[in-house]
Amino acid sequence: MDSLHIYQNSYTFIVVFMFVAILLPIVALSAGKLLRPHQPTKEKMTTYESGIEPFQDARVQFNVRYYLFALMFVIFDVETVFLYPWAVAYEQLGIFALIEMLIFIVVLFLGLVYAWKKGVLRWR
Amino acid sequence: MNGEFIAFLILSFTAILGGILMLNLKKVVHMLLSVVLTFVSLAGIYVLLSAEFVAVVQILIYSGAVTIILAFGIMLTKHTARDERTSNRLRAALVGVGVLVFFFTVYGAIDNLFFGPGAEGLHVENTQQIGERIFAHYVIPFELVSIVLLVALMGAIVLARKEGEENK
Amino acid sequence: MDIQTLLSFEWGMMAPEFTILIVGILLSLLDLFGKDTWKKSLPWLAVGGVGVAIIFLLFQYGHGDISILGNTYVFDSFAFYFKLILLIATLLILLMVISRTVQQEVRDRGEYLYLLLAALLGGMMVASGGDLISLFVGLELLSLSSYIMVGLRKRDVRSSEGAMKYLINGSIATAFTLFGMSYVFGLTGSTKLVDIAREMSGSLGSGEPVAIIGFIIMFVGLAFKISTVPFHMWTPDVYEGAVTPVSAFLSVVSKSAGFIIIVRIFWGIFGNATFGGSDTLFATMIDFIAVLAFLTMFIGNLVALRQRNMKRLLAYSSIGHAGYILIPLVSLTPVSLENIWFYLLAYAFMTIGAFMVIYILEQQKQSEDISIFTGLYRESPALAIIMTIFLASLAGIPGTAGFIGKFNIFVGAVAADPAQYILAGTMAVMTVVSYIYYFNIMVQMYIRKPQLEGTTKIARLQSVPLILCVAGTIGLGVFPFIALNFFH
Repeated sequence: MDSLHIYQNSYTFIVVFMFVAILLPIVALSAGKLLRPHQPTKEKMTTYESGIEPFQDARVQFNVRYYLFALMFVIFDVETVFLYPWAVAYEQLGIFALIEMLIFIVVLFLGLVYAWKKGVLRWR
Repeated sequence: MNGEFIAFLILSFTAILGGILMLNLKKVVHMLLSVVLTFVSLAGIYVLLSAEFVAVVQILIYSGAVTIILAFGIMLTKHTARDERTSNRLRAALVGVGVLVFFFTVYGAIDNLFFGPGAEGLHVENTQQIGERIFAHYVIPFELVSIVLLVALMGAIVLARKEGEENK
Repeated sequence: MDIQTLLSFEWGMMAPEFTILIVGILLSLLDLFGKDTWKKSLPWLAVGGVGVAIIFLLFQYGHGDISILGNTYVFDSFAFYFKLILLIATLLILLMVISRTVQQEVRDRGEYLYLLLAALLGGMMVASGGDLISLFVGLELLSLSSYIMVGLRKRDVRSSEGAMKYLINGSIATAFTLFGMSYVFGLTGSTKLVDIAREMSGSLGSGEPVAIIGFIIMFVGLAFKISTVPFHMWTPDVYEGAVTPVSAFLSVVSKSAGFIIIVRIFWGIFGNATFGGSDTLFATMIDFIAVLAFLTMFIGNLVALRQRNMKRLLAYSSIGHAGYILIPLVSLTPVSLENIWFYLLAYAFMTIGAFMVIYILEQQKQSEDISIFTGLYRESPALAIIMTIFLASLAGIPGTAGFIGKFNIFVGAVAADPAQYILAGTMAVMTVVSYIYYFNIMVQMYIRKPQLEGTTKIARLQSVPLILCVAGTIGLGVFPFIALNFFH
């Protein structure tokens, strides 16, 4: 049980870091707000004080191709996740683990080939 | 009341909070952020359960990749239409009753549940333990997962590709 | 574990799965790199692959039980018989795909084939899974491929709607199943079905309520797959939106896989779990399934009365049939498994046959309304008679496979202990109700005059699946003992 407590307590650092990370912007911004002079004019309130007047909605509709790239990223990301335990446990597993992983990667390589042939990777 | 219990309370509270916010917020991007809150809290719960690897995967896949997919989904679609909510009191009440009944049923079921001694040493070389299980025992499901991923990839391409673009 | 132990398993028993896997990958490679002239013969390669898999499987007839890698793959008689249904049904559906005469708007024809094979592979893994993880991954492979196949007709709004509904409903169902499995795992500490059953056969003690919660949640999740009321809402929309062969696939293969996993998990795990000291946990939960079966038969058949779109009608009729198949699950007799198997086999032949007739007419008349059958007897007597056979079997008229299936289930329900008189009665009444909508189609075919001129012809390729389905329906109806003896 002792090692479990060591394991859990080691995450206290992460919690501390998380709090620091959250507090830092809050403190910095609110301190700035307290210290700086506050004299707004109409010119200062515009989005770009010395730029072009913004027009249209800020959100534009993106090309669907971005989405395909994102989808492929997720799938290969999931594949990569399986590589971690494989690499860590490789010493204990031996040669058949290599074969298993090769089959796995070849099947997913087929997916990459498929995307390639279907012209998903080309930007037109 | 030890530190583990307090951490669990905070994490489960934020996880549920994220879910409720997701359902009730009006803007899509805010919904997305509340989902991320749930994902991260779940990762914290995995850490408490000595499932370090799963926690990292949760951050990597869900908070990272899936969130990006969702963000792309938001960028690809129009959001001029606002979420018009027709509040139905009766339905809300029924859902509330359902949730309460489920809560008390499960609570009653697990209230005096005794599992026996829990597994020990799960956190020791966690990733390696998982690797040994997957690649020595669950070989067949693992290879099947590659087919699942392949099908998902092909499906994504077939469905999201614009009509009329042939493979040349 | 070293390479020797890995090689010591009987990998040859996985030959049917390997065949499907290799053919599927080969098909995708040929579709990507092959010349256009080859692509026409790709469906035949798929048919050949499934045929070879059936032959491999038949060679395993009577082989003893084996398990590979700690039960992640098991071969037993259960796996053998149900895999046979999946393979035969997929073969018929592939023949249906080949028979297409009109070029439809689906461009990605190659994808169809390997998605079908991937889904079949998932179904076969479900039949052979002895571990919750393999069962789950197999089920997911089947579901994911199905979602994509439904959405393949991209220009059709109904197809997108169906795919969306199927995806959302299916994801919720998956979440339910997984949640229920997590309870069972938490209670027993194992994902291996044999170990879970052993853990549960002892006294569950304070774990009993948790086991019940796991049971109900898991059953609800899997009930989506076999579309029992009230988890059936997606079925008509999805069947309507998908291309007809895919509807047939969902209605037969996907539903069979759902029943396979239900039988495997619920009889396997909970059938041994003692509850309250005397009964098994499954026996105490029978009422829960019985209510679902009752609702499914009742609502499926009643709503079918109002349908005019043929695919929606068959969707509701398939919901009704799911209710019938739930009855042997509830009435525990030694012949229950046999009844489920026989009904699923009969159901495969008659449903695929009916979908095939609709497919032929739909291509010629560009409609799915019931009026495509108007005056069919004058246009094409052969097709009308064939459809009559399928309808008679679906309705359960003596001399057809559907009758034998229903009769067995009825007898099983009455002979069971405790006898399920209410369910048996509901089944009888609902069968009579189903006569109304099946006979309505017959009235359209024989009595009404055709609205359009011209004759409906059956192309040579179209006759192949029709003949096979008629042979199956009549053959199982007249000589049911051949199949039943084969089962023993």
